[in-house]
Amino acid sequence: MQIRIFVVLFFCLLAVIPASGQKVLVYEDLQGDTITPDTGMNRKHYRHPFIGFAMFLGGADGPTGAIKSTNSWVFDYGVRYKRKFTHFLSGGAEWNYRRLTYTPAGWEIPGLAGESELTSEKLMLVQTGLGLYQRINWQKRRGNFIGRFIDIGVYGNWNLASRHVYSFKQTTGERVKVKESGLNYVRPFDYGVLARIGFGNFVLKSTYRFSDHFSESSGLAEFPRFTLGFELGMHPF
Amino acid sequence: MCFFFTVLIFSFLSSGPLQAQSSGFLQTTEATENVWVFLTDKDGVAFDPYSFFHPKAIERRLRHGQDIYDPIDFPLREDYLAQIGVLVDSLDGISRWFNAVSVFAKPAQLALVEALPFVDHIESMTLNMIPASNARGESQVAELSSKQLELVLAHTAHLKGRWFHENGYDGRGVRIAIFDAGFPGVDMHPVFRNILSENRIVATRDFVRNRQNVFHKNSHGTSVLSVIGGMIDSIPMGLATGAEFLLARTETWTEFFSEEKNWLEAMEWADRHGADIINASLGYTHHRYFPEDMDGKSSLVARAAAIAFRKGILIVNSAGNEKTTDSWKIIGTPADAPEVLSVGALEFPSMLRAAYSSRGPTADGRLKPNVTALGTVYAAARTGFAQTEGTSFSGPLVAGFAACLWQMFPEWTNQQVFDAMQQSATLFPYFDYSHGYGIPQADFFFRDPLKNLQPTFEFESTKDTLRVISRLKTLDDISQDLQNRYVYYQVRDAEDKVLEYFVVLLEQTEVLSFSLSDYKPGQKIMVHLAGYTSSWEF
Repeated sequence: MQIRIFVVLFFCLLAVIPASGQKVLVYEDLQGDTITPDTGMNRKHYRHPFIGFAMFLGGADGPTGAIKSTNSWVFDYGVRYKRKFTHFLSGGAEWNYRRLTYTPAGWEIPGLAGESELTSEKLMLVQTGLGLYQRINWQKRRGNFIGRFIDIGVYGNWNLASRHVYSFKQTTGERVKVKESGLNYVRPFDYGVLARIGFGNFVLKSTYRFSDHFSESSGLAEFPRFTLGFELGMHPF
Repeated sequence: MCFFFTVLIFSFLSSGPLQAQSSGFLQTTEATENVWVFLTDKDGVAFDPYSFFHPKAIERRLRHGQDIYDPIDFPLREDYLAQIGVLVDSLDGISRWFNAVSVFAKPAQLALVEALPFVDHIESMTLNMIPASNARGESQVAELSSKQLELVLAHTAHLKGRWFHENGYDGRGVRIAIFDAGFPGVDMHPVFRNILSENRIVATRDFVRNRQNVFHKNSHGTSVLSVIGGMIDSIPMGLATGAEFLLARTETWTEFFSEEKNWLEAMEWADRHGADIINASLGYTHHRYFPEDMDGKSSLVARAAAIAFRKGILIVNSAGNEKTTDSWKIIGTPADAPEVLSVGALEFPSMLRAAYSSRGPTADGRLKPNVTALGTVYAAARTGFAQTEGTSFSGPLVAGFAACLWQMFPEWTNQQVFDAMQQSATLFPYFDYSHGYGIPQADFFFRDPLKNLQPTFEFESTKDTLRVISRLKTLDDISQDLQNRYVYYQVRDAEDKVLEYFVVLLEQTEVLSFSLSDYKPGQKIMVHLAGYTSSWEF
């Protein structure tokens, strides 16, 4: 009974005490305004994701290095860090994840019976790696945005996975699909040089691979070493 | 696949800035730039202001004590232009005010131009101007519902516009130039019947295509014009329903691209055609500048605005919609110029700053925006109407206000109109960097609303606490005006610099409470409630 009285008294007390909270509708703290930020598209530090697509160009090192260029490509995405040195010069590093897909045009499939018809063939490499680049922005007057630029740099990639997939139709009409993973004739590392020309978010890019994909003992000629493609920088316009 | 890729590469290359221009003295594969070439002098050129200027432009100059033979208005030297024309790909436009010519040229060509003895310097041109609107994308409707009509009525009601209209002021005789992205439908839409029937669109110019017709492309300008001078039957959508208009298309594409060149040329064109007011709902931000450049002096358009102001033109510019942009937040340029009346946007119906509305101060600490007005409007679209929002529309509402005020006091200079509009605003002399001095109020010019104003609050201090106590006994005393339920306050340091500011809702007698130990000696609290402003120094 006593407890009930206290509860009633408590709520009566609440009803007569005015609320003391404020409903803040607008608030601005200006004390940070004088601090020039370090981070931004044309500030000291900036990083952004990107996504790209490229195709292979140029000749192969030998007959077994020929590819069907219309069915061979590189898809990649990653994160790029940019460090501004001067208004015109910056540099940085990038991490990327790449999937290379080749359609060999000159490979002989071991064990494939002479009458069997090869219907499709792909060599796929999954890589991750790092790149280092130097950037030149040539716009004299540029605010806090990426702008127009030329990059030159180097890259190195590690093969996370390799797979050779092909399918063929046997003389009996039966279709067979074969997947070979962890290919021992594929070298574990790639390296090369890169160049890009960018207009804000849109980048035209090219790479040249110095390293070989295939071990000497495989006897395979190298695929084309040039790539040319597009990249989309994922940052504000 | 390969074909698609090849097409993409070539379309990319052909659309990019690397595209070579078709003619020129030096044929190289270098990138072509669009730049301003500033010249050293105008020696020996002939100029007749009476044939060059509209009589209203001359009258305005005289009213503002300006020389009508100002060398800044003289044409550029033809021999200089001819020599530059030989060296570059093409001449693109001129600015008399800056004695500059816009050219397309490659770096090698520019090196030759820069070496000419009459070339002062070269500046690259800004390409990205951002219109200050956030189109809601609502479907257009042919007629307004009662709710939409309520919003239309608020366009003028929150400025107490009936005081102008009931006393016969509708901007008649005042000439307003509007710079925008296009004006499709203006020549057909019924809300402009009042303007068209009296031939009050006195000149038009498309600076993008270099022709007269502006009734095409983006309808942003159509919406802007409607909230300055449009009428739905007998209901005004803006205050200047009797003004004359100069319509200039200066933007090249919806919401993204425009050119500084168009803006400068349009400004000189508006001056020549006798504009009293220029309304621009555009601004430059991060594409060329950093927030720390927003000092009213760094940008070419801010300097152009200063020249126009000197010639007696009142420039009303939207503050911008960058508040929610992390890398920017503050006003763009030319809204940063001290000579420009910068207008922030308010939400409807709260009448507090809109979340997107760019705030001040400028990089050198000046107050911006100067005033605020509704940013959410129901405006004319290409056909019918559409709800839209942005500082793009608060600016035109204020431009209409300025036109009525100038009609009422035709002898005033632009500086007097500028100052009076600030003084008439709801918060004056209080200000903050979101609302400026508040909403300009037409009744200020017909009665003195401050005449019988009693203090609405008082400060009470104890040993360790400062309290702000409302003198308004009940909320019923406060009237129905929502503005009178907002308590605006700010904390200033000993140098009078604003450190932070607030708006809180008045809900109780003890409005605010401050612990004295939280503040340093010399710091101040400034409070505004229901028209009354007072401050306390710790």
